[in-house]
Amino acid sequence: MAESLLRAVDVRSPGGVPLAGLSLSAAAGALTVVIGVDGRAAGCAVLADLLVGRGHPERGSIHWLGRPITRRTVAERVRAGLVGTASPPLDLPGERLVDALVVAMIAPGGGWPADLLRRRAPPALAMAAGEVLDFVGLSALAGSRPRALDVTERALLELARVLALRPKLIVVDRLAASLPASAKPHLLKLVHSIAVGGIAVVWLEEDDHPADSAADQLVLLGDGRALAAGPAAVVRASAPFVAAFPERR
Amino acid sequence: MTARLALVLLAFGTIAAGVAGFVGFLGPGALTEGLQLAAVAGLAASAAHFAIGLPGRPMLALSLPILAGWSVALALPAASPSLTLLLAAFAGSVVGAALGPSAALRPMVCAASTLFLAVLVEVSAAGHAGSRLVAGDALAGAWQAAVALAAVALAVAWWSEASLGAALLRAARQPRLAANLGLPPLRLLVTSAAFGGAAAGVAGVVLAGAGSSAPSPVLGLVLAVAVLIGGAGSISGTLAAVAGLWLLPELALRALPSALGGDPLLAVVGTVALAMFLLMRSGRRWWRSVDG
Repeated sequence: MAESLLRAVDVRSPGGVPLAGLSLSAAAGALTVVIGVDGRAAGCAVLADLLVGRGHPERGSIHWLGRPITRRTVAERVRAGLVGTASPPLDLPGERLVDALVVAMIAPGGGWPADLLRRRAPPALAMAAGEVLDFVGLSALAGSRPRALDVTERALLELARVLALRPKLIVVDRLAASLPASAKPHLLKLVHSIAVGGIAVVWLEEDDHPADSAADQLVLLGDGRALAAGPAAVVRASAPFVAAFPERR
Repeated sequence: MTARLALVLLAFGTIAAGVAGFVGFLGPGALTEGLQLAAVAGLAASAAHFAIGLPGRPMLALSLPILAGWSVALALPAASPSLTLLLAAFAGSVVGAALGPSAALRPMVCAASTLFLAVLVEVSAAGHAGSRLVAGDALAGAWQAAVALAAVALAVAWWSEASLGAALLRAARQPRLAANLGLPPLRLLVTSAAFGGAAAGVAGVVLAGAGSSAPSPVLGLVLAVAVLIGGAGSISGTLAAVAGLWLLPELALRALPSALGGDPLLAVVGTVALAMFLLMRSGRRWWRSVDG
């Protein structure tokens, strides 16, 4: 069952597009895709900030697992299972990819005295980090330095990082924007697999993007408002969608 | 990693041997005193590593957990050395944990507020400023325990350099990264400062056993500078800098208290030690660049 995430939020954004009366829902095991029309003028960046806690609305409320989280910080939302990819991807600490993911795994509950005395990751965590890298297709680079990755690999590592945090909801914030066209199908397949695996996924992209082809729910965002929202097939057939992307007909 | 441990042990061994040689001619009592001061240097370096080096924040109030340990020794002159050390470690860790959140402040605010706090406490405790341990013979004789504890503290500090906690603390220095990882920075900072406070508390007891008066806020400043020039997060560098900035001047003052006058001698020895250490560090960097 879809859970309400945003309820009629208004955001006056001095540096970005204001959002007006926007509502959004997400469901475990479902992929909700938000496509922004007219690039940065759509409001995807402001919406992503709102979902992960980098920004807060003037009106309306944000809920997660039935509780209001409107004023919760990014870190608090991460600890509650609501995790977003960063745009651009984060520079993770650690000499190797697998170490970086282990650090990400222990971070939300870390900081106890044992952490200062523990040199090696518990085997279960190291194995889990390896599995996440394998899932996103970076297992061959497990021993590489995070800073040595190319653009596509960095995007995949960012996806691995949010998976390492064992999220219940992932906000994929314009992760495909900087990728070459050849890498996008792999990302699409991964994000779809994550949703099918039982995690709620909200994927935001600007302009015409194939993400909507895998969507369960689709929101067309333009000028900070939902131009169309609902089941993907219905939205794709709607007049605003056809007007925005006539070549899709 | 093994090379780093070897460096730490070598540095500590060299300091201990140097102390023994330096004060040996003054008699067996001076030798004991010198080794106690070497132990203080090791403990203080470990404290600075955990409270300043790992978090990467200029917390300038390390004299306070040292003062806490020193006060425990002063308050319990008849207690057994092990009990005194235990209580001092606990008192130091409590004071360290209380200071930990200051590291979450902006660096300048952290530095100013902690220095102010250290001076404020020092002024409040002015009645004890000139006090020396009177009934601390048991502690003065427990220098072997002090050296052993210093070695343990240094080993723990060396071990922590590459720990998961150190990686988390490095991540905590970057607000965007820390937030996106869901890091609880306060818990991290408090834990690390509590470790450092415990080592500093023990250092306070050993300092008292060596007959020193109450530590002043200047000691906290010296430790922060030692971390700065020794390299944040590097226990071997911090230890070497503490030895150069604090231990050698302290020994010089004790060995020749009146021949040249205290303050000028302190300034000369401290400056020479600092210059030598900086030259060593720049030489090492040059060597590394040549080595490629």
